[in-house]
Amino acid sequence: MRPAVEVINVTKIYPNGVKAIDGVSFSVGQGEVFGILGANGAGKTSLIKVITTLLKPTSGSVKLLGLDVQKNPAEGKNMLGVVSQDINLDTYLTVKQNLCFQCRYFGISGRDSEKRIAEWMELLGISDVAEAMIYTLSGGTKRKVMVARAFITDPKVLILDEPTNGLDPLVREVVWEQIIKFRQSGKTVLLSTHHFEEARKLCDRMGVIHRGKMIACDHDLTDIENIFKSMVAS
Amino acid sequence: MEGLTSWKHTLNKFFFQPFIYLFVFGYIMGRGLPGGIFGGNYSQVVAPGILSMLVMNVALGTTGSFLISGYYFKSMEAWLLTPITLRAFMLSRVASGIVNTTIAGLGGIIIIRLMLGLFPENFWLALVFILMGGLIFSCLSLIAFTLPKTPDRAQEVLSFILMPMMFFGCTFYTYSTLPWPWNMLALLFPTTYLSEAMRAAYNPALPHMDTGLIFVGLSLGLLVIAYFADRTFHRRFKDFLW
Repeated sequence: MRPAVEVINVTKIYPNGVKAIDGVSFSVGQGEVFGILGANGAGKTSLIKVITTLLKPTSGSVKLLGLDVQKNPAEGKNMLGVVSQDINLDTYLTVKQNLCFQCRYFGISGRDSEKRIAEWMELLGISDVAEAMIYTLSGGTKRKVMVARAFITDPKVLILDEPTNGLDPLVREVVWEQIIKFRQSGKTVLLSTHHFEEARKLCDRMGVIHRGKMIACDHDLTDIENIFKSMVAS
Repeated sequence: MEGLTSWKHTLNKFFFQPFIYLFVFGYIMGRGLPGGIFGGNYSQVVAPGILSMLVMNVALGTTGSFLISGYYFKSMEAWLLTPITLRAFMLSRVASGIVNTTIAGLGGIIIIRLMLGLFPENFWLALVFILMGGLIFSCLSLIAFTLPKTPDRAQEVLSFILMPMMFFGCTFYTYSTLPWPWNMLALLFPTTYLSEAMRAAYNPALPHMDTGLIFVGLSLGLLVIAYFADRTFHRRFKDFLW
């Protein structure tokens, strides 16, 4: 079975000369949860942005279920659900409109989208703010909307960049539960986090990224934990 | 959609600004000043020019405010993650600019009718030119807001093009009144063709540029501006660094 995500020798050098990713390679099988661990500024978000086609790699390539995403970005993005690190909702639209627009972009019919929106709002406890403008919501509620937006299109690959930042413990549990359910349905998750506990709870495999390089991948759990903690400490 | 959801913003953009311009330059000054070598009064000259300026401002503002809001609220990242091509995304922004411009243009025509009693003799021609203007200036807005590293620096580009287009682009006078070499300079600005186009639609008896030349000028301008808009838009969002 071909991997869900293949990152092949990806390097990203920004126009200011900063090498954010340095020859990173790894693959994630279908139905796996792969965790990318790293301290702040390690290159996790740059790597996620390359995988999701937002950034053009300086060299190397990324494949999603065999499809080169740089060559076919629209088809690649059609397979993805993404929770970005920053809140990036449409501020002047309501919660429901944000989710509705997302469904439309992914070609989900009106009736189906209504059903999905109701389900996800209920699940994440945001039904009461369905008609509220995004700019009136708290940071935690906005993040819940972002989580709902990523799941609602039922993507083949879910890419989560620090998805539980700013969430209260109860909702964090709900999100974790959904990630596990998602994985059980045979789909793939790429999770970037700097919380080892979160990675340990959710991930089948893990890699540690430091100064743009993947310095450990598929080591045993204790090794990964030690490497990660020493990187954070440094 | 975002622009239209705020009624204050909509009212200001579509009605308040053109109302002020038309009141000062059309109603107060326009009716008092003679129309120069072509007879009539100045409001017949300036009203179509203000309409073309309205088309320019609304198209630039609609497309620009979308990019500015995408930058400040980071929603651009989410839009770029949707499964549509960059070109389709760009065209959707241009289409939004055209829709807003058409609404504003029609609003402008109504205000001119109510305030100055002027109405296009050829309404459909005026509508065609409003649509063309919306298309050209929406593309120009994409260039202005995606050429700098970040859209908050668009003012640096706009200050170079807005003032010359407004004041050398025949909005406040007819092209025929310009001596050489200013008449040559004016040919570089799309507002010249658009203002003359509106004059042709409003009152064909007034001196105006030949309609064929207007179409050629607007079409050539559109080709050049659309080409550069496509280039700058792709360059900016293929490697998204905002």
